[in-house]
Amino acid sequence: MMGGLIGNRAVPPLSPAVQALLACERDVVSQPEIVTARAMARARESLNEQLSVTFAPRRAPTPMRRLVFAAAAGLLLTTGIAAAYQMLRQPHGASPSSSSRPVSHARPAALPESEPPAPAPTVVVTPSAQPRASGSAELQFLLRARQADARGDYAKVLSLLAQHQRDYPVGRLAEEREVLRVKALVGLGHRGKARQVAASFRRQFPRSVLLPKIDEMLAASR
Amino acid sequence: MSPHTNENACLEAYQREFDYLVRTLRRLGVNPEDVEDLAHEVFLVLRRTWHEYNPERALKPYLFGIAFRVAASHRRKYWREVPFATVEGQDRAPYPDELIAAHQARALVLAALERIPLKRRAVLIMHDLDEVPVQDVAATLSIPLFTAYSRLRKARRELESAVTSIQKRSVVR
Repeated sequence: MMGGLIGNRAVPPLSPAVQALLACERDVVSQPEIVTARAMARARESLNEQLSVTFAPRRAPTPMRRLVFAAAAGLLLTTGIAAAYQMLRQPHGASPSSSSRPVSHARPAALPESEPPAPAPTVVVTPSAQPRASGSAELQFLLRARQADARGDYAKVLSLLAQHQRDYPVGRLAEEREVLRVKALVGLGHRGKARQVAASFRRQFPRSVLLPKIDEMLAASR
Repeated sequence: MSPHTNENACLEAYQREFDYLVRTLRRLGVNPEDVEDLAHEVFLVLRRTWHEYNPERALKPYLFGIAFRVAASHRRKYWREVPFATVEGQDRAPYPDELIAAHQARALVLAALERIPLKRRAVLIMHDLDEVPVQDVAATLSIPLFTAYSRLRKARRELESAVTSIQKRSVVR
């Protein structure tokens, strides 16, 4: 098949057996829903972080700045070479007092008071980007709800989800939480409430990858 | 186009092609446990370079180009950290008699692809699996057309030989 496309370049075609193998591999199998949802949540999270982290504007390098940078780099290089040369010329037994001191990994006891602290980097992070560690806690919460769901303990699921909503009103996994809520409501036979939650979900996440799953759950409950 | 429209378009594209991306990363030799992280890296690059993408052209080859570079970079790092990865990889290749039906064929293809050097494998995947014309393969991977043909020719030979070798191993067992 492919040999025809490139036959004039003398690339021999694949054998029919290998072509048949490739035909099987060509059909891309869908990933489990949870994997896709996780990836999308992560992608959305990174977009939010990107929006909320404001970097100081970077100035375009001018010829003068380049010159200053080159001069500083040259100076550093020269100093480094000179220091290395000095170290090599020192006889082993007569090291200067500074090098004979034992190496200490402890921080210096105190810096001279006159020395100003290093300036902080100019990255402004808004509160929404700060609680990165809470992401895993939030995930743990949903995992517990998912385990309860696997056991068929839908009441527990709803209770965990309610707590999740209280603790993380603008959580990153709100989308996954609502899907689980619909599932639990369907499991308990509360179809009306499940439909309400589904409608609200549709308004809140009109492009969600999980919408077909919700439709499927509602259809199965009929 | 506003940044928000761009982001939505990029997110939608990522969602639409997520299955393809995951499979592509596997074909490029990424371990199953690393695939999700690397897919996310691909998304970050896609987001950063979205303005360079021409929506009139197919997205898959563009995505493949990013996935290839991300996978190659990951591979370099992985090989530095685990110097005997290649040896272990050969032993992990599944035997055909352990594989069943279509699933068998897919596993066999992945195992055979593992034996083709990455640069040649990328050309073969794009052309023989994704059915991208060689001209576009060359453009996506930023290589001369002649190189693309040359890599394809070698990669096909290597694929044939890898499949035969894996099948022979099963007979010997």
